[in-house]
Amino acid sequence: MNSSIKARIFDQVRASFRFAMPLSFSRCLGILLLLAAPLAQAGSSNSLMDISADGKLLACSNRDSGTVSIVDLGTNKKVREIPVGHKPEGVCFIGRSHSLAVAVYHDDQIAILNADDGTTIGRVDVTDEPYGVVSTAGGDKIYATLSYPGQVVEIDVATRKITRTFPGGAFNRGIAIRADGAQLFLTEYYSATVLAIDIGTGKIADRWPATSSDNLSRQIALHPTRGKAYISHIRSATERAQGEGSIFPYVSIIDTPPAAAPAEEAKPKKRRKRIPMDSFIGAHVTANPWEVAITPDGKRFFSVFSGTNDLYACEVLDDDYREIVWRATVQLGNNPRAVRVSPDGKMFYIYNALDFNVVAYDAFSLKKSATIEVAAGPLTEEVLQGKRLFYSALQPMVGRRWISCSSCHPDGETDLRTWQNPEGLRDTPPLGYMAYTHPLHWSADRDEVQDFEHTIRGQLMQGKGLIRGRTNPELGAPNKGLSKDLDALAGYSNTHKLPFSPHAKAGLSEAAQRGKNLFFSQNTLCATCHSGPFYTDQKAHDVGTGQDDPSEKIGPRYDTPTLLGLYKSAPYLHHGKAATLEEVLTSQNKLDRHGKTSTLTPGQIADLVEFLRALPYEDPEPQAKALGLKAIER
Amino acid sequence: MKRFFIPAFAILATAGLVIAAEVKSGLSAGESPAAFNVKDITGPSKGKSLCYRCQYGAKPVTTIFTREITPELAALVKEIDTAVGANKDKNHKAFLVLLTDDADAGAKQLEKLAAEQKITNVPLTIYDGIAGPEKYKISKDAAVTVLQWNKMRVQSNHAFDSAKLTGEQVKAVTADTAKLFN
Repeated sequence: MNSSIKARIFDQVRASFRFAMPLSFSRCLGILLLLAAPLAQAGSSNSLMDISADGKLLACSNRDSGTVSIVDLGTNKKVREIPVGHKPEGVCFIGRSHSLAVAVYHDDQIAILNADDGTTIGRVDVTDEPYGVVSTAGGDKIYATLSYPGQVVEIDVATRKITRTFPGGAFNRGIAIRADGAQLFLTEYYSATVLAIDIGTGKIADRWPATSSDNLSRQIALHPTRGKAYISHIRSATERAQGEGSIFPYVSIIDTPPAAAPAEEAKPKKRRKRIPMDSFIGAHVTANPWEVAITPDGKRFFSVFSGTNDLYACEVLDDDYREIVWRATVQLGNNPRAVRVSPDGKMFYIYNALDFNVVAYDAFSLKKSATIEVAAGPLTEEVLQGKRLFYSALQPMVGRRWISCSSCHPDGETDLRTWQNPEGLRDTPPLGYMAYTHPLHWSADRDEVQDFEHTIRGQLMQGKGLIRGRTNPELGAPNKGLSKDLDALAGYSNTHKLPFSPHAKAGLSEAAQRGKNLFFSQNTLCATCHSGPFYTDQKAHDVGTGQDDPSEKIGPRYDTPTLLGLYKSAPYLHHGKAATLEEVLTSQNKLDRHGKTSTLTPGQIADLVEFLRALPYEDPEPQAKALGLKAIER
Repeated sequence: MKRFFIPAFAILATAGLVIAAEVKSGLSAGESPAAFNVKDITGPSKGKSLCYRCQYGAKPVTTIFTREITPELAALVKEIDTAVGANKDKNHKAFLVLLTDDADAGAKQLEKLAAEQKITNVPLTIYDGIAGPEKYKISKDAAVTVLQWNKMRVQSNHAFDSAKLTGEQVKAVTADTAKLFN
């Protein structure tokens, strides 16, 4: 279909996306409610983008740049870009002010900024991995999710002190606050479970479990009046690694009763519905849903898909059944990660993370009204192209649109899943320091990222591929140099690093130091294979785990994985059969083939685990350079 | 014991009278079925998502949308499976769509159904969401909606508020199956 025909179709669809309604009783009621409560409260749900309560300013986190950009929505121009630190994620305006809170993910800080003059008002240190951040309507408190260790912190804005820490869910990321300030709603990133926390008591008041394969839920938004929460997420169907059978996109809708919840027995059984976004409009497939937004009048709903670079504009139904219906599809830029609606509901804004811009759309006609550059591209041309490919669920990377590299390796992290691959069970590894830890795959059957051309063209991704012409076999002659795009994909993939472990912020504890001594001792022999600054000899070994999986086709020798970042990458071993590090050293190593651990006392096992959880506690790259190790650039 | 049996029988009999009433749900005769993806659990594309409506095209198709699996529903599926087997020369196709909010649990139910009933001709599939594809207008009150179409036009529609179908209701559906080829 050529572009002019596409454009005509979109124009027709846009024209149909007008919610012309008579001034019905329900609309009058809606207007009254709008006047009565701050329904479009700034900072009420986490996002990479937020709009001030007066609608004058927009702020967005630029993850790759380490900055927050401030946009004047009157002129649609960036007015300033404020450096905040490594990998900023959630951003929110505080109450009705022009002050901002930013979750600086890799620096373990909440930064508080003045959007009007670009000054940093203060920084609040948190335990680890702040992700989502929201504000009370009055702006006196902000709340942030700490993805690891799964907590929520309450910060007093005036004193910039943490006043309380609540236990949240495992890897909680999404966060929203009720308009009345009574409850917080959280999403667990790796399970899509939703939790409600009673702010008064700080305790978990309710829980909405997802299905066992739901995954990657990073944001949550509340409906202004209906008692509903909306999340987008994927499902990782690990039993089959196949393009049309592994990753599925969803919007789930949660019934959120008032804070004075009914008795347990009075709650309806079905409190959570799911809508498949790969069969929402015909058989059109979308990939990697990232954020959702609802207009202040509660009538329209938007969902962005960062893998297929599109957006669904929907109508909200007040039916407790179908919930939302499709009205239009809008093509977006590269890797859209955020959507936000203006307080008056007339505009919505998209953050295209890999175009480094914000695009303004009329919320009714869906016409683009402005493109605002928010950050100078911080990546090299090659790494940017590689990152776009890594996140793409479109050709030439992917044939069936459901999946991208990032579906299982989001931002170079892991999906925490063990997949039934053709070669056997394979736990998804994080990509941190991959540039130093080749070969690749548990089976060490690839010696360069460019060998993933075979994955791109294979059953999993079914793409056309990036090499024009003959592809060399894995481990054979190099595929490097055969495709600029494939080299770019390698260039990006090899950029990932890891922050220091939160378990070693003050250096190694006494227990971890004892564990370190054990790790490097001849009694355990751990460091024989887990050697060097990255704790790998980059060789394959039989550690006695090859007989545990009847579906195994390649074992029993597996590549020695790096141990950096182990504290948050459970389960362990190539087949994921060790739920904890303790199990790696005990029940999964009864014959002492994976180091000598059977003679260790429980206390020594605990010490060893403490050391492993502390990795990395220092930057491995200076040591690597001193040893003459070179990072693979592409 | 006798006192127990009488009320129990009465309850069952009463229940038998009230269950599986016909309701309005799904596309009407003459309407065209739209494309939608399902996850194939037991069919030839087991493990994949695909559009069976698209794959079957203009062939005569029986589609069962259900929100629960009961012995009575299983009997209907077996009847349709037999009919598809008997009408291969007429290109009769069918698939079952379980509308569920728990695809993992639903898959186990469908695998069990296929094994117990030896279903070989009807792919048992999942639509991951209880409301079903919007264009099909599946009612929230319908536990089972059976649509049969040929040449992309719906010919018959049967919908029930319970999956505890009576023998007569199953016969009514299969009687319309036979008409698909007229």
